[in-house]
Amino acid sequence: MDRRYTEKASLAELTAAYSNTPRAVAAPLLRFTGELLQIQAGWTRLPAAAATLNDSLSSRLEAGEPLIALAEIAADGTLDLDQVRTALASVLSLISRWYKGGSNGDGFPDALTLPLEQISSGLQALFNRRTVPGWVRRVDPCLQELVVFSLGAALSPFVQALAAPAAEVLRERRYDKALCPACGQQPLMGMLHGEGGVRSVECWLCRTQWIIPRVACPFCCTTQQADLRYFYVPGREDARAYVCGNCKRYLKVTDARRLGFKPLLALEHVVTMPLDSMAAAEGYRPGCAPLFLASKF
Amino acid sequence: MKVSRRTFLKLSGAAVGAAALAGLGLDAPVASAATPLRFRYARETTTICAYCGVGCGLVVHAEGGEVVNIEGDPDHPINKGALCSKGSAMYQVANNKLRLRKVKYRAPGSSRWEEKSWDWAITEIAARIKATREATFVERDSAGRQVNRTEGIACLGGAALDNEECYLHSKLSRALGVVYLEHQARI
Repeated sequence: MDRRYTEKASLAELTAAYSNTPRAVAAPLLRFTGELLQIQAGWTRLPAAAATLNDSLSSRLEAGEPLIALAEIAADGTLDLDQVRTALASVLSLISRWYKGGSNGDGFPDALTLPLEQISSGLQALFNRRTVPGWVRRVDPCLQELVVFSLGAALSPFVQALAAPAAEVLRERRYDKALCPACGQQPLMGMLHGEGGVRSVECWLCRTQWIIPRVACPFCCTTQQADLRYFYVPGREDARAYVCGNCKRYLKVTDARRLGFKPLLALEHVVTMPLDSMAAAEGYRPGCAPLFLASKF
Repeated sequence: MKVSRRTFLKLSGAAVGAAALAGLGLDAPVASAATPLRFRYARETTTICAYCGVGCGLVVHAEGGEVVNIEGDPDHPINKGALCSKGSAMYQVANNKLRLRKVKYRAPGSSRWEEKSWDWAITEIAARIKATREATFVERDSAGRQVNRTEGIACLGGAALDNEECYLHSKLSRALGVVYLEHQARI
């Protein structure tokens, strides 16, 4: 695992470094993301979160099944729901601080008082039926999306820890499917790296990276090159957005070969957000539809 | 830092997915940064290096039909993105002011290049092949066996030729009686 993902000091330094580069287009977004990543990095180090995979890696991959069944781990005891609840409280605390500018977080639920059953049912509802959990519906409608987002953010480090044993293997492995081989979620951001310029993507939830074909759509898997293009901003060739004319989705990719350092893709996603705006204007939608976007509001 | 709810929604959405940002509006710093920027489309197309018989994979970047960059194909099983020095310079094959686009002819003993037409070149080549073949054709070897070969012409195929071109090249050469038939892929 990239040490920058787990060391708070390095993460803070990296966030600050990103803020000071010409590529930084949204300093507040970077600071918020940096603080969130620091919270998440703290949870990935918990020994209790480090579980092992029961099934063999190869057999699951060959069957095209994700290694982690998200809907099941919320109920079968794999997850320490008490820890997830505490992580949720930390994320909500961060959000309420930013949202209220330092005052208390009126309107947000007090996560620490939520019964574990509600945490479990909430996660199952999100992953099974992709609907908003009942207890979230009772929150102020203006805040519901943020609460659902917080659930995903709180869960992320635990799924990351569960996926860690496989992540090292998958990092060097080509996997043509559009969904994360570890947890089945979608890739948020990609990068070109290595001397050969292989294209890797990173899962938004467990941050597992895997190699995908260079000239193929990572979402609909088409290899019709007439449908595949990318766009970039002249003078900023270190980032591009691959668009697919077949499924009308796009994937942002940073070129680590041009950056000169190993990028932290969660922050690359923030600094490359002008590409999202351009892609939307061109009629493309992001290939990654994270957890909270699947809910209907 | 105090932010409005609208701005905060954008911030929170940004932390996970770009889709959230698109769904929530883009008039925050991101959109303002994107507005003045112009972008270009390019296309990646895979092909094979034309230089030698190794057959390395290439990814050709083109904008508006013009080649703007060529690099190794990381998914190609032979080279996995790596290229030799000639392959790395493949871009210059497509974009090079020194590239010959017309027939140049230098007569034997001459120091001057003349510009010729394609029709002239093809006719001249055919005539010289015919003359050379007739002058060097061997119908029987020293033991009296019929061989019907020409020893005055040699053919060397290039790695850029595909199967069908190689087939035609081989057929033509055998029909002429060429025995010195070789292919550059055997280097």
